[in-house]
Amino acid sequence: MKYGFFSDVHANLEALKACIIDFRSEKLDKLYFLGDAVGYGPNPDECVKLIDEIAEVNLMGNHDYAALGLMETEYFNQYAAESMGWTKSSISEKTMEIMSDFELTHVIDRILLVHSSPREPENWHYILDMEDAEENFDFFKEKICLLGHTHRPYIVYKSESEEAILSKETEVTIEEEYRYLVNIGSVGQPRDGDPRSCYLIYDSDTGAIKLKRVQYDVKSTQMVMAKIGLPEYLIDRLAVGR
Amino acid sequence: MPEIIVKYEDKVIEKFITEKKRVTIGRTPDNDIILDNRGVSRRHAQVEFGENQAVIIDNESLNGTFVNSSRISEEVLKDKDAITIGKYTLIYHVNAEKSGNPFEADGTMVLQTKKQRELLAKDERNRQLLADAGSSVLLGEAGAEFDQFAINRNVVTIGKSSLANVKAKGFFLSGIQAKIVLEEEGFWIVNLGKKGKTKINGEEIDRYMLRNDDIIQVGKSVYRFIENRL
Repeated sequence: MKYGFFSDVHANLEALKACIIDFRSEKLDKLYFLGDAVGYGPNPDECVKLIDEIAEVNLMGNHDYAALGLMETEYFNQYAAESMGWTKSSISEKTMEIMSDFELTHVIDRILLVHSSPREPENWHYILDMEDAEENFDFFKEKICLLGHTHRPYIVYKSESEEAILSKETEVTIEEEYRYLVNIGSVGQPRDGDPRSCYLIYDSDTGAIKLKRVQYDVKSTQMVMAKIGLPEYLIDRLAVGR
Repeated sequence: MPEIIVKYEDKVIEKFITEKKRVTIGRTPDNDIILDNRGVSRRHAQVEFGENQAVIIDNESLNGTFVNSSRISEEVLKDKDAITIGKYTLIYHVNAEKSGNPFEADGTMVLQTKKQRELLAKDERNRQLLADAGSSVLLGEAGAEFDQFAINRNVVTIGKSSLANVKAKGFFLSGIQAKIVLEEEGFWIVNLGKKGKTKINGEEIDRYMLRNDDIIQVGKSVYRFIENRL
């Protein structure tokens, strides 16, 4: 079985469409969405509808949660809060209805899916360094934990007795003695210096996991954002992937 | 023009439409609204109409005046508020409805103090409950996993999801079916998930400002909203 996992679309329809074409060419059997369908980007309704159509399971991200009016945006940065204001005012009732069914966590085939962190999924913590990663291994029992939230992909693995190790590769084969914590990156707003969309492929027959990059038309998204009047900083960062 | 509909055991006995600045309610014939019953004081209460609002004032009546099931001494009336005096219910409307027969009953009354006692006992229980919780409260009725839930935050989520603060049951219910949000005027309930799964007093709602004693139904779970007025 070949699984595709994608996250943090952030209402970037161009990026999502490019990824869907890639999902098809990779002949993925099942797709899972790890949260943050909306926020920052210009096409929340279209993205939520598409994601709901293609994914087996949708997870709740903090931006989706905020868009439903379930949390204050006071700890969002200025730009995130500004775009959230626009998102809340523009999304349809149908979109709200779909998002209200997003799940907090989900387990498939010895894999835990969560948007932010296995430690406290509902508190949207960020795993920003190896110390955070190491600590979070104690909060899941599955072989693999996949997450998004920080928009920076990585593969970390850990054995029972040793410290966690950050993989230098973007493709690894699952080994018996390790457990894995993998950030699958972001479709709609990568922040690791590579502006291309990122998602994860897992082949349960071979045990291979692979972070896949996909080129999309950044300029198209930027033009729609400018038309709406979304913050310039959010428009500019797409081109540099920061 | 404001209107007060006088009901006796769910039967409309009078529709009182007025331009007066003050409407008195009591047992004796010199009142504007006469409630001919011994459970009602001679000068039981009055409604004062100001520029933009109406206020009901209880004249230290023996058996009390209730607005949406809470005993009050003075209370600003909102549209469709239910005022209970003795076994009468008076529904306040900011603007009179046009249709309807103003006289539907013959006005013969039977003294009945049981309802009065029940209301007083319930009001006392609610006061104790609110004092303990320090906030508005949801009481679990059918299909609820708690007896009471203190609404001590700005947003309370209701649904099937592990993210929901209040877990509701029912087929095809959304993960987060509804939210109760504190806004300036009070608590609102908003249906977020599938249509028609959130009902207040039996009616489907999208968005509704909660009043004391409202019955909230989300899927198969039922809660009673007790508003903190302290």
